[in-house]
Amino acid sequence: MKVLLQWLKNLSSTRFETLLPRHLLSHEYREKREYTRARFPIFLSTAFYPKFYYATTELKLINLSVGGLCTSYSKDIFLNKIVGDQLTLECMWSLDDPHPVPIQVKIVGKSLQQVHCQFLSLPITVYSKVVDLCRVAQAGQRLKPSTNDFTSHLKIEALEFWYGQGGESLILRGDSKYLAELTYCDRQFVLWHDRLEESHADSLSQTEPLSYALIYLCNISTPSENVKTLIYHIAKLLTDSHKKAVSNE
Amino acid sequence: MNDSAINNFEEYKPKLRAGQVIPQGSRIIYETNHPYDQIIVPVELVDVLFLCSGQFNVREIIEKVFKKQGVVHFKATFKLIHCLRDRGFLENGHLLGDKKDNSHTENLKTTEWPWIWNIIIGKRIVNNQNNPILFYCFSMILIAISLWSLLVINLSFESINKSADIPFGYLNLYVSIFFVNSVVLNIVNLTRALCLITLTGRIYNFSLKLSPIGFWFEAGDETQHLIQEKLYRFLFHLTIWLSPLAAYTALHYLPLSATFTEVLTLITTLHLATSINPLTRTPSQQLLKLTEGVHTAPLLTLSLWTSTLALLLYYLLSNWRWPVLTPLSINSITGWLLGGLTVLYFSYLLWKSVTTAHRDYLFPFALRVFHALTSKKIFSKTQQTIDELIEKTQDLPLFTYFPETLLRIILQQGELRNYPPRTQIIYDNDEANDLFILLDGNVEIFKGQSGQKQKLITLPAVTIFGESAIIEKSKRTADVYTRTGATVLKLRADVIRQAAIEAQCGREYEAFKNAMMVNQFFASAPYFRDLPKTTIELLTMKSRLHFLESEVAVFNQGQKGDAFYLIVRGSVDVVINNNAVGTIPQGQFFGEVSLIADIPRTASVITRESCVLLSISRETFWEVLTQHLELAMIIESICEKRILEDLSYHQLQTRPTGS
Repeated sequence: MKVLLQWLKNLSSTRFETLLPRHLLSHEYREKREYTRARFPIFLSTAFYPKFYYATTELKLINLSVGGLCTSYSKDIFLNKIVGDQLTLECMWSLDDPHPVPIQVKIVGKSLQQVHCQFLSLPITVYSKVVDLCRVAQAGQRLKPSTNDFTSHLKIEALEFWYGQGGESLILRGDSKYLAELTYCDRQFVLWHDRLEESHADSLSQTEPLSYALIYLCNISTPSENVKTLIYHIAKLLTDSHKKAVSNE
Repeated sequence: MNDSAINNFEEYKPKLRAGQVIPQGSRIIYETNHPYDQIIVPVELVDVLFLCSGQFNVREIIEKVFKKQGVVHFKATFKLIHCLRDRGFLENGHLLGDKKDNSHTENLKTTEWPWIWNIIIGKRIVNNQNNPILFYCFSMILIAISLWSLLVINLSFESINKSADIPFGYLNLYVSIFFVNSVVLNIVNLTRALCLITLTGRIYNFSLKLSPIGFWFEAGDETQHLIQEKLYRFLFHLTIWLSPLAAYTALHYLPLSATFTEVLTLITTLHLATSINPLTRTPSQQLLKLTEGVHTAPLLTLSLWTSTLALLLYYLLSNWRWPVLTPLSINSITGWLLGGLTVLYFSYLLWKSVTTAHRDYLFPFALRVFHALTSKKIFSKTQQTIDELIEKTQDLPLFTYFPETLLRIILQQGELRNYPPRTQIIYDNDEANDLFILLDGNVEIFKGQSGQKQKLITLPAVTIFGESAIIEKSKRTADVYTRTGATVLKLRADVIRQAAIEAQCGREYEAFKNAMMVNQFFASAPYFRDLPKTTIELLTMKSRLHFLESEVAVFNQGQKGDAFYLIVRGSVDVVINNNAVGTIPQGQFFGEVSLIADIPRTASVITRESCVLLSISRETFWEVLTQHLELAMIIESICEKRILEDLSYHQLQTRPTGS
């Protein structure tokens, strides 16, 4: 009864403050901070990922979610902009995309290095692509390494073994055959020295799987030295693949 | 799953045999070297496997997994540890108690009978390409052949009975039994091996066995648990169960002597009789377990098996004379012995049936009738009694806000009753119109299904009970009995409601009503009503009550999940991609998918009508789940079901619409 009386006293602040009326439920306005963000490999050109332009200048993405994006603030394009300003960005998803999609954003945060923008309108086509990208990123965020603290009774046949609660994994074999096995979003890849091969698939394009694999690895919260080497290796493969594609054109 | 099993499970410290872990994509293979066996485990459960070192109990393992991963797969953990125990991977598996039986296999250290010579001929056959269609055809053919045997079976034992009269008759008889039994056992075991290899793609530990009654090939049934489809499991057990009959049909058409044919009939019948014994782990019993949920009445199942066995025994005894004990009559000692054993067996089944009927049906009914007939003495109140009542009740919640004059009026309108010991005051599921104040003595609250009531608490005087009457249109959620003789004041709920309005203490009344509402939710909602008091207190203390109008979004699809919601009043719509896909009613919960699977909200939830929701933070949610594995597994099951529904909805949406 004492517990009950104590609880009765706490009943005063019982109203929900973050609830939205039903008519505001759409893809057009989303609270930025409430969605999973995909971290981008900032050392690499964003050419393999969605490209956002403001006033013909390409933005360097730090992270992206269905709520908004964060871009590095190296250029002076945002110099006169303040929090609350609305802008129109142009989004191109692939290199050969002839029709950039205009996207309305609002600046919701600004620091010396970064600008945070919230999407005010996100077309459904871009939305679904961002969701796919974030799903891969989230799989990477879930990865945790196997520790040897309690595994004296078991021998793990891998150099490093990372796994997540969504069925994703990263296996570094440490033998000469191949470098690693990557499993995420129900897809399984084998990373060889010169290519990334998807199991049970006949994929010819390398750019997309490599880009996604890189997002997957870059979103690991505390990567080991071996994982960092792997990231570097994939980035190199991706750059080579890109160069090859450009030279073919 | 009973509580003691769960408690035992939570304290159990699983110790895995030394072995190796081979990661393979989204799964890992764990294998031991001696004796050889392996198991495939989803990658999500790797931590559990690593922590099964004998240092930690299951509760500690779950806490450690949660600290590392942020989520725990309770049901899978529970199943994994039991599966490891059943497959003999745990060194201390025997400490976990009895096997949960039906799906899993024998321990690797199988029982070795001294009169059976075991020759191990192989460790495993693995063929990753399982073929259910082949299994289906094979099982159908075998079942058809088995049923054909019913048309050709001949229950005559003349030749066997004459064995005593001819030279070497017994030797001939023994050779026939050895030969026929070997053939039947080989056919049964080969059938099982073929079924397993076609269904699961693998069989382990096969051997040749030689005993005084036969020589046969045997394959281990360790991979039986890999059969996931209920239909296939059903067909598998049915096929194995009927396989002796198939053997009968196959051998019946061979030109065998009369003695062989009769021995074949005898052996087949004995195999069938053994396999319908409901008290041991047999194929027929596993078949029966598959129908759980359809025939839950224990009486029905026992009756079914008893009558089948009785018919079989009757048929056998009426057609057959035992050659050595000729004639089998009630006058011989062995006849008495056999008769006695049969009577004992049937008495046991009958006793079990009667106790079940008594516990589940007769006793609760008789108790209710008895209490209905027990008189309740109502006595009138004098001025002095009213003064005493005011003194006793004025410190009770809500009553403390009433002025004395009003309280006097309320108490005057109440009924003062004296109840003898063990008398029922409140009946579960009755309409709740009255509030009770226990003035003297003790009452006990019981909850649960008929025949399996559990005592929740003993209330001392002076206490309010039956407070659910304060909330309109509610029903009782428990039985209340007097423990000793008790004096109880019965007050009409509408009188108290009116009094609260007149006393202008509406806010206190509302707060009291809300508290009662939450209490009643935890007392009546499925999945939560069996939680211990301390857990409910924890949930109540760390939760927030929200009053929402209709058409309000509680959360949106894609958002990060940070809370779990219980629907105290009202109902909500589940919306995926702006399309309503379902409704969750009062007493249920939502928001668990995001927390359990550690994914963004898979759907938006919008109130369908005015709702009262209780929100529980992520931290509290996990704190409660890690402490209550049974609740955790129930919530996880519902979560799985909802994820599957969401997936099927998405598949439906993405399906091409045709030409």
